[in-house]
Amino acid sequence: MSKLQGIKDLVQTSIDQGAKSVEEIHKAISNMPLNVLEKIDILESSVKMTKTIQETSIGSIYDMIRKINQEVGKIADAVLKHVDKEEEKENY
Amino acid sequence: MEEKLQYWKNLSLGNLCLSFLNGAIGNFLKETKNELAIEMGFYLNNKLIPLSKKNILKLTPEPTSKICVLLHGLVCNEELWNFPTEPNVTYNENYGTLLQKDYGYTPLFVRYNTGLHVSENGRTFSELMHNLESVYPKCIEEIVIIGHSMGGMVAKSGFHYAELTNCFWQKKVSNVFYLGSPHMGSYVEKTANITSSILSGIKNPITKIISDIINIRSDGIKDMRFGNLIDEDWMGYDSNAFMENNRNYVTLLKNAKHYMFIGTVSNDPEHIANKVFGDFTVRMNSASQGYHKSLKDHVKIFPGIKHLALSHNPEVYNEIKKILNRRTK
Repeated sequence: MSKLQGIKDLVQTSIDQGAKSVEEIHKAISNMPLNVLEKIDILESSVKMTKTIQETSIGSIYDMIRKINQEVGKIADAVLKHVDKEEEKENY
Repeated sequence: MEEKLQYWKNLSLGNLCLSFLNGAIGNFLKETKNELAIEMGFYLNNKLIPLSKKNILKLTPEPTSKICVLLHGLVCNEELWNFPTEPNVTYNENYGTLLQKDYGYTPLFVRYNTGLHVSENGRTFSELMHNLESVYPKCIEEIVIIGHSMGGMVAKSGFHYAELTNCFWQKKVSNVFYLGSPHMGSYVEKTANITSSILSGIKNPITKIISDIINIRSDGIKDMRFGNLIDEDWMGYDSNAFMENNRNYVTLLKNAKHYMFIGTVSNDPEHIANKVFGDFTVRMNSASQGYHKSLKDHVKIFPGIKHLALSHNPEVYNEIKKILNRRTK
């Protein structure tokens, strides 16, 4: 059972780290055209605002993924603990 | 090819995956206290056997005063020592069991987390041997060590830490066989380092991420870049720095004889591919520790035997036998 717990922990951490990396790429790519527009003086302030809105909305999607991952992890923990207890009872 | 496939089929998939995972990200598993992290020791039916007189008898019912300790290589486990056999045959012979049959050595197979620094594993190996000596049912008179690839490096590191901590076990080591050990590093790891450095140098988020992914590889793998053995080789340095060699010189254990076994990709010993690719993982120069003067007569080349095959090949065993016979005459 401890190995299952290990696999669960590893999958959970991988999803967390993976979401972080994908979020970084996502933000960097979507910022590319805005970075070019930002160089035009007249557009600078509105582009900055667009950038902030965009980054916040992208961030919220990945925050959601992380939150779901955490909750699923908690459920899996509870299930594994329950199975563990049942196994202990059977062995007893 | 069919033989090779059969060989892999005979191995336990779960163990293989676990060993691979430990080799790839073993340091991370240990840091996060993940249950999948392998603890160094002797295993029976995939369970770690805590060292005690009673447990040693479980591992080896008839212990002798001569022992042979085998250390596997990176991302491997002790199953990799077994010779390829016929389909559906579960019992395999290996260097350990053959040495037991031919010379009465008691074989002990060490399993460890290959993703940790070689120096960490070396220190733990030294402690393990020290503890083994104290609980072993007989007085150990002689120790033979066989290390495949990283296993040889861990043994070398273990000797260093045993000397530092005034242990006694290493004084009983008579022969050490390094099978394809990257004493001066492996070009595969060097290639990974160069690739990740180039990618991180490009100002592009995608290449940066790819570089970060390549750099996830474990401390153990990174130690194989230049053949790090001790803490001073890596502590305080950036492990992802571009081709930075901080290796210190570590002397070989004086009371033992050291033999470097080298595999090659081609059956022709003079083939240029052997000089470029070595055994496909370690170059000949590295596996022979640069053909060091004092080791000139202790280097043996096995044409056509590739890196992994060095751990389970009858020709290699015959050479071990020849060396041990020479000594007993």
